[in-house]
Amino acid sequence: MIATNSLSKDKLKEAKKIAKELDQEACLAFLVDQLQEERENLQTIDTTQIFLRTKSRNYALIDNPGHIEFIKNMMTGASGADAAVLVADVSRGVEAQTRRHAYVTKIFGLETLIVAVNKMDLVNYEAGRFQAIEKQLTELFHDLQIGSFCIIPVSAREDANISRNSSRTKWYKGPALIEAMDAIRLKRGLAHCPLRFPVQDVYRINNESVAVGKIAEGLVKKGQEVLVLPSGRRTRVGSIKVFGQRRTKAGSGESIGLTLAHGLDLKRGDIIASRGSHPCPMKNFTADVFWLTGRPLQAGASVTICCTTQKVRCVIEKIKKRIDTATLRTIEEDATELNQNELGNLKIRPIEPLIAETFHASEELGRFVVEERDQLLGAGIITDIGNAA
Amino acid sequence: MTYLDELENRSIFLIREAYSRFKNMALLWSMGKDSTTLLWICRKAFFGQIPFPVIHIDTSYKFKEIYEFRAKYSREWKLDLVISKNEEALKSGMNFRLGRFECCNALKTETLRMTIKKHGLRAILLAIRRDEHGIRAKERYFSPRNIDERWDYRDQPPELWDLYQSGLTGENHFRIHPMLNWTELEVWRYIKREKIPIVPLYLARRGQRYRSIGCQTCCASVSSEADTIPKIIQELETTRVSERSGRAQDKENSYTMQKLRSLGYM
Repeated sequence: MIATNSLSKDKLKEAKKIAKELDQEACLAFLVDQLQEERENLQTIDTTQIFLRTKSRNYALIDNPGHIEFIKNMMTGASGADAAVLVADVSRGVEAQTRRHAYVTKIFGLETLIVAVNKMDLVNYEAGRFQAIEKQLTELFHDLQIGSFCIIPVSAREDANISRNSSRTKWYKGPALIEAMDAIRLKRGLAHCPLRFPVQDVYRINNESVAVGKIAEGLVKKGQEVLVLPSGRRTRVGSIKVFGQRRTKAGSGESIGLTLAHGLDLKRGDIIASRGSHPCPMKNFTADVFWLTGRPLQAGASVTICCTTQKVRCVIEKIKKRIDTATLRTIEEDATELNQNELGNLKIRPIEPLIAETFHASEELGRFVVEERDQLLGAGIITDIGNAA
Repeated sequence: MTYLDELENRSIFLIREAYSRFKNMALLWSMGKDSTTLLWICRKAFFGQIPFPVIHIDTSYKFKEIYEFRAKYSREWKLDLVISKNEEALKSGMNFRLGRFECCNALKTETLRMTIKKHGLRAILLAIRRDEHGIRAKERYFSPRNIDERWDYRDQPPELWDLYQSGLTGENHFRIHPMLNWTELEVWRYIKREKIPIVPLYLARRGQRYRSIGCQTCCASVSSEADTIPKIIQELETTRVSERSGRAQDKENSYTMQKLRSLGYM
């Protein structure tokens, strides 16, 4: 923030003032740790965002807590990110949370990972200390099949390799942190994909039934032939409604309204898809599920799964694997329950029709949360789909 | 899509998501630039006719320009306007001289609490943004308030992707923040693009303008020559003074905002 001159004067002044009151030398963390409890205990509790401008683009930095008890907050932050920067402490090496966070970014589909190995000033910028961690991290990312990553030795306190390469790490030939961030290429444009339009709600506008929602993927055009899922009925797009505009087409990410030629009875949770390559209701699927709550998930339990605007009852047929996210080792196969902060590879059977795809095929239709009595208990990514029902 | 389009479309999605869960909801409108922008986006989300009330929490100490703006646009946009005041506190003479924390709490937080109860609201839309204040930056898009209407900032529920919570055991109501990820600069760029009307206090007169408006008694102007929206945008692209630097209630003590917000302040 300081290196890019993105801070307001009073924010920095306030952080310094608090640091002085608390008799703390470092105040940088207080720029994001704004809760009294966070500052007094020197610990981030919840995720936050702060805005940064570099020469090439604007960023929202999502600061995430590192402690295991706040992993749900870390996941909240990570689920909104385009790319991730992991921060490791050179004096402490690769810790359980480093592995856990790397795992979360991997299952959340954040394709680019930057690791800032911080506090290089404390080890006199020794190449050996950095390289030892670099080796461990490279092995970890190899195991996780994370292809694109960049590991940078930094000192946040001394602005070494943050905004530009430092003369104290002449042995390091890679980019500085901000250069590495600016080089990240974002996934953009899902317009070439087949249409996926999850119906969010149905409004009555001028005596017409208008299905509203955000186009998850693809393009929609007036007159286009579409399928309504799960019913499988065929129809055409009658019109596209955007307030104050005349539209004949719309693309992914747009919040629009649609009318259909055959005035079908639509409801929230229906998926409008292009004909041809459309998903079908499935018999079962396999998913990686991160369990967030203290009450374990039992094999055989029935739960509610929310995927796009669908809310569907499903049975957990099998907990194929329980994985310790701190060590990334399989704890048990064919388990009876999945505990908090573990990752499970589950076989799930929908009781009602569920329209979904693998996360690889469609991010929006391939991810879900598990809910029970309106409480969010877990988050999952679909890895494999069983036979169509 | 431009970045402003992305922001707008996401906000529309959030507003519609809230409405699909909580029919009994309302929009909080202070006539400031942010809530007027949110109102504008709500009109888009519902094709011109907002299907729920628009509430003004009126401390009675607002600038006269704000009241004029309210009268003009609530008519023009055919809003179901509800004006809420804490008459009792006002009668007993509540004002900022009795303490800014006490005054904000009585005339804003308490009034909001009474309004939620009176109208049986399950959700309210607010135009707060993360870049305004470090405490607001900690918020969720769908933020539950518990039975005592408090914000439990120590233990907020997870919020993953676009999959928002539909309720919570023991929750009183939800605060919905569709503009949480906008910045001040983006709000102004959007106002310019959409030609959204604003209260003239934001534009410089005789070298002074307001960056954030509320009660006349607790808002200070900043020196500025920006007398048009493009000039405001230009000013914000280079300034290093924060937006709410003129708002007294944020600064009385380091954690006043945290205390106010945990009790239900906007």
